[in-house]
Amino acid sequence: MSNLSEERRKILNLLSEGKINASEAEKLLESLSSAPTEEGQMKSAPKYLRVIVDGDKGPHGGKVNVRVPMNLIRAGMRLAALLPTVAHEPINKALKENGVDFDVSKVKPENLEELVQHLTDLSVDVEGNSGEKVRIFCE
Amino acid sequence: MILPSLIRIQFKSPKSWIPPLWIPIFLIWPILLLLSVPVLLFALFSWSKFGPVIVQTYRFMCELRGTLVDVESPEAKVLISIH
Repeated sequence: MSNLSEERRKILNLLSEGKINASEAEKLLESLSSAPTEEGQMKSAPKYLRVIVDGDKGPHGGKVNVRVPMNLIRAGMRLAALLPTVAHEPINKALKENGVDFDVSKVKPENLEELVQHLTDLSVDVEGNSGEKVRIFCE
Repeated sequence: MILPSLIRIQFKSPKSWIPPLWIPIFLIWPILLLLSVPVLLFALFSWSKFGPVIVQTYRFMCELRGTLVDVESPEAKVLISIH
């Protein structure tokens, strides 16, 4: 917030000194107010990945509520990127056996931020015939 | 970055009831640090190889704060929360 007012003051100083004209100052002030601030971006960034499962209303229905911090996912992926190459094959094999067709060797630290960023847009909402619900989202 | 300090574990079932447990894991960290001194010393000599792994493992453990797992079925309810 203090950065914004400082920038605004600089523009007004430039105007008062006659270095820029009124229309230029107006344009600069407009661009300043429309530019997303770093603080604002931080606020909108989700902190947690949530998985909520509501079982059916019958006698076997259960509930699952999982909250995973996004930073934990980041840290976990950074750690996975450090795995020695000999470990990749058994991990890939174990993942495939459990239905996850994923190649761990392709996880590169430079791609992690992009991957997590796309994960924040994720939203899964599934509703079954007998009332069971599955929701995966970021908050 | 701060390591987690407490873990809350709760287990409920119609047959048995255990009071919620608040485990002060901040007491474990100094002991674990003392125990890992030989490992850290060894890692210092080959920091380029083991340094990033140690740093990332520490980060991973710090980021565990805020994790919540709450599973409920008609038979039992289990809650694990890391603070």
